Amino acid sequence: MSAVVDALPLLVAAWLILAGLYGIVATRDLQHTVLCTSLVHAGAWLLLVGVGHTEGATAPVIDEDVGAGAALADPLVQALAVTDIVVGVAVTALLLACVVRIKRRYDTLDPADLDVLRG
Amino acid sequence: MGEGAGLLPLLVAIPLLGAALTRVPGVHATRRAPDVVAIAAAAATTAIGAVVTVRAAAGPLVHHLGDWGPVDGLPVGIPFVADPLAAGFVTLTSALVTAVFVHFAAAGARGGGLTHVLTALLLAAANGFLLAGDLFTMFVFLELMGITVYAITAGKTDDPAALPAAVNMAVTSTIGAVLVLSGVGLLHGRLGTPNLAAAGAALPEEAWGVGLALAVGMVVTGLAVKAGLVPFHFAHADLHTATTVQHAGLFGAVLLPLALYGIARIEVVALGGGDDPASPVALALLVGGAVTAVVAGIMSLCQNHLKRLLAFSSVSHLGIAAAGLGLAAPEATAAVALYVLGHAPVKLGLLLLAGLVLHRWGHLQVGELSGRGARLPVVVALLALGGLALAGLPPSGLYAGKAALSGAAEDAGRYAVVPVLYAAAVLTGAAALRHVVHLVTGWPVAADPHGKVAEDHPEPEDHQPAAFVWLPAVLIVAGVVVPLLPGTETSVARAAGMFHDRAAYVAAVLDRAPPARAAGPDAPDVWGASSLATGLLAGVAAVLGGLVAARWRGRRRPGRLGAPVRALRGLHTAHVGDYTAWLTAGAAVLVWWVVLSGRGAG
Repeated sequence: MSAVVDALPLLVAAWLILAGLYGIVATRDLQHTVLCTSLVHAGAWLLLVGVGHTEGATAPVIDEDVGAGAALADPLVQALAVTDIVVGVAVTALLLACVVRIKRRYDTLDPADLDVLRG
Repeated sequence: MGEGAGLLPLLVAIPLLGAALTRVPGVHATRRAPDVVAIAAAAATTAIGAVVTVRAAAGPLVHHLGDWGPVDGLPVGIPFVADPLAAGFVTLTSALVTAVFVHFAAAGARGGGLTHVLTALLLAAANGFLLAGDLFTMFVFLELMGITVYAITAGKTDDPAALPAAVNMAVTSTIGAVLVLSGVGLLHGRLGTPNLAAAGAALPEEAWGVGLALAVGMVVTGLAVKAGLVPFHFAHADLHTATTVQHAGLFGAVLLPLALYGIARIEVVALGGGDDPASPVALALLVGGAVTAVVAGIMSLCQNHLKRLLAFSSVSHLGIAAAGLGLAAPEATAAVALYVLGHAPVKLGLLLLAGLVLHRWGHLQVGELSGRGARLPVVVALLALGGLALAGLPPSGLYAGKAALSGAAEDAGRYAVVPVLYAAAVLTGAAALRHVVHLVTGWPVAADPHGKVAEDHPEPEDHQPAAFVWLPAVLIVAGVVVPLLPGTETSVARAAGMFHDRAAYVAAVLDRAPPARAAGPDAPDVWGASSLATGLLAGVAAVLGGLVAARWRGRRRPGRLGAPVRALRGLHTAHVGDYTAWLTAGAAVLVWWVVLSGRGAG
């Protein structure tokens, strides 16, 4: 049972990443592409938090109730996840701005219609 | 530790400060002040980088940020580490960014006021990536670089291809980043540290097991996506085509090799495979690099658009460098360092020349430019010189690097690599020389139904700042004469030796007693008669190839012989879904290769 619980976040993370990739490959709408990119990112965050989790561990904040010797979740992967959430927000904002301008300039959101570079 | 370690944070802080200062109202409002601030910041970074490079010759310099040094030999904080190779790369990057800022000043380009900020940020991030001593910090700086790259390209509003290219790059590169991040997380979960030196100590010597191999595979694949190895090169080639000439030069000259540097650093320090040609990462680099060099070389020769030609040329030369690192020997690393040192200024110079062509004639399509060379003979001469340098004509840095690389490949028993290297170089050289031939002779250019570059044509201008000519001239000549400078070969050999000295790196970062210095490789001998003859032959082959390609008009009915090339070109669709499909397939192959190879099986 415990092995399943341990592996579950990783499996869900892999599912999120693969679903996001499939969405980017198959979609005909750039807004959807941006959302799927966020989905891929979310998979990575879940994977990181899953890596840092151990059975029975509490949040890595040490005070009177939680001594220095207590079992704590790994704060480093949480820092990684927070950093990448910031990166993800920046990329999403930039991509959405690009999508708005692509719509204005080319009047399409279908990547197949953006025939600007070939060969 | 060593004298001068305190300088390391400045290599990141000064460009950051410069970026901020260009936006201070008093500076921003004036015409010249942002240029002056940006040039001063980049030049100061270059100077400090040079000082650090010299000081690091005695041993790796380590600076623990915020004085969070190791406790009982265990890393606690974030170290910045500079060995001569990293510091030399920092100096090269800073010098090229300085040249770009000088070019911006001459062009009067303000790019909505953000060009300077983003370029300075790019320099800070690149330097941080080069110096970072742990995987997490490498990832953060890699992402900072990525975001500035997308923003720079998305902000180039006068090019119709820029926005789609920026979106494609942002999406595919983000997937690469997710791979790196997931790999770093898994690696940390297994080894308990993101620190390169400590991870190297914690990694089992023999078999890694599936979990670790998966983590390693993901980190390496993510960095390969950032480096643009085939099949991850699509978005890179489009991006270099669509962005400003200055940035396309920077990206091709230093940003692509930067990701390779990351792979090599991880391979040497954390994975301990720096001297093992049979390690999965080395083999992946060797095969991937050779394929990339040839595929991108062919794509380069097919292009009628000068900037797109140079974009594929950058990818091809990156492939040569990757194949060199795949030889996994200090001699090969020295050769690659020499190669990058020779390639970087030539590539930036050629792209600045493309900028001049666009400025004066309003076109980059060779069909529009054919026969106009007599009006700007200096451009033709420099383009020819650059093309010959790309082909590896002695004494260019690319020649010296390739000669040294051939020697290393023969030492390693990988003879098949040598003709691949020369073929790729001749293809990219011929691609550039073909345009020179058209410029001079005015031969008609056959229509190209397989290629398209949407572009706006600016009004041609007669006004021509002097820097538009002398700056590319200086850069291209620098790339040609660099191996002739006394001490270049011995310096890169020593730097490569220290890059491969894993014990010294680990001891410096973890505050252990420094081990006996490992002897570095001998300076590569690149002036042997056979090397010179091969180099000359490559130059002649590139000239002939350029002539033949210029004369080639295609056949009315497409032949069977050209079918593979047409199919290859048909894959470059600028469709983000297609590119992601290729990326996913390539990543799956690469990750499983690492997992299934000997080290993952245990």
